[in-house]
Amino acid sequence: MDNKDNYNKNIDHENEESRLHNEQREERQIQGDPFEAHDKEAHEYEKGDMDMTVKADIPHGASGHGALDSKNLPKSPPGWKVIMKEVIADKLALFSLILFVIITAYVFGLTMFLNRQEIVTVDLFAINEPPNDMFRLGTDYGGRDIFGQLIIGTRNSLAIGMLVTLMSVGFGVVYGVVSGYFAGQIDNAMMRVVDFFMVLPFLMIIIVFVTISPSYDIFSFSFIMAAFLWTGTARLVRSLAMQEKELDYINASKTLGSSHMKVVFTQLIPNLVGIIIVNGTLSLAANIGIESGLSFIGFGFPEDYPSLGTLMAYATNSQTLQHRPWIWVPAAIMILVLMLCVRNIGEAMRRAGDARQRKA
Amino acid sequence: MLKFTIRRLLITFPQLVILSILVFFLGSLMPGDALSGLLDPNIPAEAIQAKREELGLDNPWYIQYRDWIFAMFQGDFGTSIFHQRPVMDVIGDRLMNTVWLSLFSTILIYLIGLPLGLVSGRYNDSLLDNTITGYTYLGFATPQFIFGLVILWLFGYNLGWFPTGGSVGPGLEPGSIDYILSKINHLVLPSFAIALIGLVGTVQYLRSGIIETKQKDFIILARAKGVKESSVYNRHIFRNSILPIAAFFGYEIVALLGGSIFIEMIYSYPGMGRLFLDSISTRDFSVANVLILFYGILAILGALLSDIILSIVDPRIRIK
Amino acid sequence: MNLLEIKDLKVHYPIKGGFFNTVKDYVKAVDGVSISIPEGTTYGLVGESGSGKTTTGKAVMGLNHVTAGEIYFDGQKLNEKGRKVNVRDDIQMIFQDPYSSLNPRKRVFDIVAEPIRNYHKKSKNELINEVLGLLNRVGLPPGSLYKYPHEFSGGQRQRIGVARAIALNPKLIIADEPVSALDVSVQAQVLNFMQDIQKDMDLTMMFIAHDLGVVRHMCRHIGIMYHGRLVEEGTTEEIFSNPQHIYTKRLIAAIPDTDVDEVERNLALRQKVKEEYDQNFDENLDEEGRAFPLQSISKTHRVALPVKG
Repeated sequence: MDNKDNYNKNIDHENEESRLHNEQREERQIQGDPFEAHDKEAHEYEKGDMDMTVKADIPHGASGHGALDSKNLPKSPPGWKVIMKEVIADKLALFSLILFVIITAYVFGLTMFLNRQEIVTVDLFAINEPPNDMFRLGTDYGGRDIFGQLIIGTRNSLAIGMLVTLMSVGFGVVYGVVSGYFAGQIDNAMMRVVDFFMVLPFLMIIIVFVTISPSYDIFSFSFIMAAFLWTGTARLVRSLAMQEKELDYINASKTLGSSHMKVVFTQLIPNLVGIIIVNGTLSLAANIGIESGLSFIGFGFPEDYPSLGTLMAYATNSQTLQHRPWIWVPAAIMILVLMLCVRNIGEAMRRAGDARQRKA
Repeated sequence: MLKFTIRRLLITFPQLVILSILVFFLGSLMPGDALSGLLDPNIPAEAIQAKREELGLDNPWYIQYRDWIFAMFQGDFGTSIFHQRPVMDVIGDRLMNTVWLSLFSTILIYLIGLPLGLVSGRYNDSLLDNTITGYTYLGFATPQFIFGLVILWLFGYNLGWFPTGGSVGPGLEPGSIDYILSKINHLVLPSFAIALIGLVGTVQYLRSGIIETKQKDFIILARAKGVKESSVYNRHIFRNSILPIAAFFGYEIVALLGGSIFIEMIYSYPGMGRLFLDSISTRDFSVANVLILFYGILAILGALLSDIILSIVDPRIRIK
Repeated sequence: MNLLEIKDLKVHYPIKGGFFNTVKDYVKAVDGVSISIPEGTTYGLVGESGSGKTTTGKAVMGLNHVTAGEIYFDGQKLNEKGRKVNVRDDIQMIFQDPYSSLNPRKRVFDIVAEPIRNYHKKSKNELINEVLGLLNRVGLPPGSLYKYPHEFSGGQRQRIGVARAIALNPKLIIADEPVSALDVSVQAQVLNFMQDIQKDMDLTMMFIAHDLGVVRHMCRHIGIMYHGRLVEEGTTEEIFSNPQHIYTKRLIAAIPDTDVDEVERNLALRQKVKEEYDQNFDENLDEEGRAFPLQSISKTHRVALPVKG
């Protein structure tokens, strides 16, 4: 699963990159036809306090000698608004978004009222009960309520997935932008490090870390995961930053006396926000999968801190797998629903970056 | 070409060194050392100390690291505390099982994935393509372990078509026809579980490759020249779209080897991934450590292989 | 008094190759260019694309490293060998492409205020007033303040670029083909208004262009570049009435003329120059295909002609 995932990410990023190229082309064409907008502006100016010289600035045909070829117009990656518009226009993505928000709100809200101790306490009088009036989804081998565990597990999986995504994408963005912006030797060295991280059997190393660290909480656990999962973002952001920094507004900012830090954080990163959001969403799906996988093989949180993977792990017992589907099927469905929702949203967001595929 | 290969090898070497240092430190972080499993508590402290010095356990880390590397080059990978056997023997028992599993899965991935991708790309936006795309969409969102469990539940337990665990039936003579058949029978479920999820990347990649190639000028030219439609696809488009997939072969193999951890666990399949989990839970860290090193080296070599294939296929990739 | 003096500027880029990625050769983007610009005048740098004119401008701005040569501004040496020029507030640049030179995520206010924020501490109100003043100066309505660049046309965008460049009251502006990306109908407007601003602010300007017509309109001195070197330099008058180098002659002959009666004559002239160009062009370059060193033929007029004898 570890390298498999890297591989899939590779493909994802290849696609993403090639899509970005397309997107550039498309965006150029779209922004390259500013006629309508300007006609409108011109009318406003006529009414307003505008001097007449500007009115005459309306381009009435980009074909003139020396005019900017509309295909070579610079692009800018899609902004937050375009992305949300696309998600709303895509019925499936909109449905996924609503479902995801409901699930998230539900589990985070409900866990505030559920008593974790009560749920995870072993009750030997109610072992492996099928769903009934008292336990809506039955109980496990320790007599613990599956429904409660499912709610808490969903919350834990989501929380870890989000934390890991925040950490890994956050670090990956900064790393990638710095590498792409400074280029040259710095970039070379930084990319060698990424190459190295990408060939590490990270799942195994995480397992070892989890085993030997005496105690860990949600933050340190997420941190260990994030430490190996930032490379995809870093590579993607780097290649984008390299394209973006060739645009003259970056040069302009430098000549106006802005420091490198300022150029990177106030000029470059805001222009990459759209892609970063898309990348973050798709990583969230992957991270939820990885976390539940780790818990599944027993290297996530302990049983009294259930995650969705913990419930799945009960199914490694052949009796449970065969005869007590109420224990593991809800968790499996929940994982699938979450991952599909997040992926649907992410894919729709990614389409927003490719004008050819846009539905909005 | 040769230049690229050599330069790529030069990058590989430091990767291997850093990996080995990393694994070495990971090993020293793990509780217990070569002695903790060997000695019983009745031996006096001085004797232990003497033994420690003899084994060089109190040396500075770089000396220990050097000794560790030298020992490995001589084939000494340490001793498994749990099995009380050399690590290499323990791994050797499991190695072939994982190799078989990976081989089967790879064949299945290409055997199923390539036609799916081809059909999906050729007849894009047809009902068939939509079905296949829907499948890859689901496949991307389904964690392998869930899929493995469902397959096991359905075909192993409910329908009872295939064995649910192990790598071979009991009491069979190694080498006999029955033995081989039993092995294959045991491989079916785990390798399908790996392949059916693993192929989605290949399908998607091939599909988008074909759709992209379809619009290229040389394809339009081929059509204009009157090349038969089947030949346009089989000779021109397929050949062009298959190359990048061929290049991912190295990554694919490595991914399969590493990815078998979940499947080997679900199917109680005695391979290396299972061995890794077992050795972690029995705190047999000397085995776990060597396995990490082993997988790491494999990944480095797989990336190397893929990059070299890619550089043959696509000259643009060659680093300046 | 020369405000800007460039002495023997060289900008070389290494070509790496071979097994150890060693430097094999250099791309000599700029190879020994000397330019002086008197205060308050406009110097036009003309050449085909790839001739190194933009690289020269960017070197002065500190956007390129300088391989060799010296750059003096107001008598002060700007560069150390092999390093970039430090960015300073009294040299500013107007970029060629009004689309990519404005950050699409920033409002006009932020774009124009950026340089002021970098060099001066000002309250928000002061900033707004200052930016409004600048916008007014470049002929944009106050309503533009909180708009985004994509809401403007090319000519308007270039005005924003100018507003940004003059925000710090620079002494020298490097205008890198400021109108070549604009529609022809807008070019003249922007040029005229740049001239007005130059007069108002007593600016010195280095005007980079590939269009001799534009340069004639704008500049007092002209330098013509070819493959990283100057082939001819002089006052506008000298260059247009008495071109010496065959490359210059051909460039001037290629300027379209709107006078219908002259069509025949122009065509003949153009043919003649072309013939001469085809026959003699190689002789006007040294064995590496570069221009010869400049020789003075009058006080202000210098040409890169082959050394006779």
